[in-house]
Amino acid sequence: MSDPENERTRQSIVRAVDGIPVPPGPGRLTAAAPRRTAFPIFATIGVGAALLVALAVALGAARNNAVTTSSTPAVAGSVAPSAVVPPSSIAPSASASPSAAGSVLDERFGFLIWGNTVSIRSETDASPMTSFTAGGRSWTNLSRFVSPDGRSVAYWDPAGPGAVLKVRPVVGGSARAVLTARTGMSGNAFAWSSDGTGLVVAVDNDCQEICASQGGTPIEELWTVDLASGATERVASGKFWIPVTWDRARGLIAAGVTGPGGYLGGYDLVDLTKQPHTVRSTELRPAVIGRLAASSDARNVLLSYRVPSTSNMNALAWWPLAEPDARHEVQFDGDGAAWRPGTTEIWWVGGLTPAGCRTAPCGGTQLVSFDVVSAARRSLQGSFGANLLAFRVDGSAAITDLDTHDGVIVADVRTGRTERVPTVAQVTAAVRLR
Amino acid sequence: MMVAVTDVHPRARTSAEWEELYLSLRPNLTRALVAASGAYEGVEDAIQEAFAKGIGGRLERIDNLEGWLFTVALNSLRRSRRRARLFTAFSGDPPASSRELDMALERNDTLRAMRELPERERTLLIGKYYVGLTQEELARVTGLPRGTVSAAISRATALLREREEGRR
Repeated sequence: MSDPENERTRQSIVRAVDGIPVPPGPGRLTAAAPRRTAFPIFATIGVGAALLVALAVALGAARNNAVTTSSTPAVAGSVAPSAVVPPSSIAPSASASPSAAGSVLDERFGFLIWGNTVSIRSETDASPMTSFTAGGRSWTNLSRFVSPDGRSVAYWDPAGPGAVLKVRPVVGGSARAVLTARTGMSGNAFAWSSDGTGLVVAVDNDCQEICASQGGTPIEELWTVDLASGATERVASGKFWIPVTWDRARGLIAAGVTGPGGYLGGYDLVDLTKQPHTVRSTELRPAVIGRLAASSDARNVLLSYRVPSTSNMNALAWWPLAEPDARHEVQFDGDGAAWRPGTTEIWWVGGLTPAGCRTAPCGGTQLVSFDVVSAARRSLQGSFGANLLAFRVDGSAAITDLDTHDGVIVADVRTGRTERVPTVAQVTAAVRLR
Repeated sequence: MMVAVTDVHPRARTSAEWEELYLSLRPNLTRALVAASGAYEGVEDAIQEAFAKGIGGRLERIDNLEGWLFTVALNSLRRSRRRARLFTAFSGDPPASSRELDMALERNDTLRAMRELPERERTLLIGKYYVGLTQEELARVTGLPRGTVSAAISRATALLREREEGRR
């Protein structure tokens, strides 16, 4: 077609489409649009310190000092919420100089920041210690990038057809390719095994939504990688999986199942102890918009979710990894939740303010935890980012994301003291530097 | 018409900026999706979902934000209409018609002709001429191999001309 003909076609289409009436809309991004919950939930092995249950302590040097706790006997099924009982004596929270009582930040730990490139920095120093380029695709942001010990990071480079998955130390060393997808196959979400010795990886031919609507054959595969030997194995095919974790001791892979539109429609367990490997599927009905995350010991899984076209309240459920039918719902006022490494605790940022906290810049006034074994509920009062991004690798601090995505608030889980860390791009994960 | 905007500010957007983007892009996105899909049904929800995914993604690396939103919204729309068709197939209720769209179509030969084209051809024409998608983006949204996109556009355009001329 000649250029003048092209231009004639373009003009007639533009004129025609510009003439289509636009009905009045809601006038803003509505509650039907879920808030950003873009934090990678990953299985980590932390050296968990014993969690002290404490009453609120008012210290002159403390920034945040309100802690409440209560417990009810653990019961199967829906767990009744425990009352949050304010402590009888809490001094007003006073602004405090962090240096007076020691900084919340720890130079042994750091952040993985994903901007135009990926960089690693310490909690205490903004200078990048490592910097590299990584690729991503639609579901890559659900990947568990950082190893359970916080010392290695996996990433696609590139992510497109013929994708290559690389692993490199967080600081020092160099990257090595651990999985190369064959021609036409692109890299998608992946997760570390709970013991950090392997990876479970989803690849596909990038035809999920197109094939569903236009026809064609989607190819979707789940692979494992043993990092020590370099051995790779295709363990399942035929679904669009979002890997959650790999329990190598029990030979189980847990993965969410998604489909066109991105809803989470199922939860699968791949049993590697059986030959051929079997896949046990549990349907999530209705399909939800949500995220799955495994505890660091791969014993339990949480699902933080929203049911589309219903109220804008988020919800939280958990189940033993191998028993999805034993699902428990948890009363939840947050927007995304995470396991604290080395524990059976689920945490989230609650007390979102302004109330509802949909698209306005907002924050949280509580850091809430729920122990799935004891049903103990605990909350730290203070000023936090609205999203719980991750925990410090050893579980000693929670990292919450500022709604403006230009920094994080690090909160000591024992004392509730916080410190804000400005960053040039969004923090994606927590790492261990030494 | 939609003009491709390269993100010159590679930092993450604030919520207020997303709201502004939504208000400024919604009219043309609505028109493009209605033109490509042939109906108003589900379009606003699809736009909202696309923005939700955008808020949740790392769009600072996307060159053509409007094109990305159009593609994601169109896929969301297809999915929701498939479900609606399944539901109405069981319930026996016919889908509601849009009088406003029908009236707009009756006033415009090109829109009437486009409505008669297969969905893929409509998507190609709207994607290329209105949204400004690249060859690669067109390949992805239609499922065509990248090397065949130009020929497919030519055929779609020829088909459109046939339909338009058939009405004169």
